[in-house]
Amino acid sequence: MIVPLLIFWLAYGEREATGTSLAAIVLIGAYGTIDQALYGNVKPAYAALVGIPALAGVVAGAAVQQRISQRAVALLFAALLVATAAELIF
Amino acid sequence: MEYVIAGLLGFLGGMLGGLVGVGGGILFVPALVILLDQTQVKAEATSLMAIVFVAALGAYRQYGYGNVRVRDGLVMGAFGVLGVAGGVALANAVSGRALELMFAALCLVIAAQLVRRVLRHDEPGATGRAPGPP
Repeated sequence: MIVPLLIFWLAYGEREATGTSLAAIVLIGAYGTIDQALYGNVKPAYAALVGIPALAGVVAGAAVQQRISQRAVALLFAALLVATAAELIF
Repeated sequence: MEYVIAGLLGFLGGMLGGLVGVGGGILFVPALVILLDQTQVKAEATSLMAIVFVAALGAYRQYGYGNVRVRDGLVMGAFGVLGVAGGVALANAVSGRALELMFAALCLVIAAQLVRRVLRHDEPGATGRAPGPP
């Protein structure tokens, strides 16, 4: 929800909105992780299993994003939202 | 084999993070539940840990490209933390299915707004590429 909030309320460009959103997610994720770790729900080995390849992915994704139009970024995000809605409904 | 596919989904989730500024949990969670046999709660919690590192590296890279407003990001993050606490209270007050449908409707409205914006605005630079990498 951070990306559309930045685009529609604060008039960010798509690329700036996605970059700033990632910075915000660090804080939110850290809070959530600490909270869940206290309940013993976090498995660091499995987090590394998906997270380490994801580090390569995020570097690649950010690089690709600089080479596509802002419109394409917006449409990709819209497609992701529709997929999320479909997953929630069905 | 499950580990390889989970790693591949991790890579794709990270790529999505770099492309559209999300944490990648939309792919991490199914990988953890379906391939690594975790419960939904443990998968979401474990996914959060991966997201922290992925978002930190992504934010660092995007900062290098000139796409991060650090102060705004910190403010949004702080409000996000408060939102998590509010979300827990809401989740306890409303049924899970109602929450899912409300969030799905919100996603669809925002998606429609984004598409409208793309169709309406043909502003200079909207179709241009970003400046070169750092």
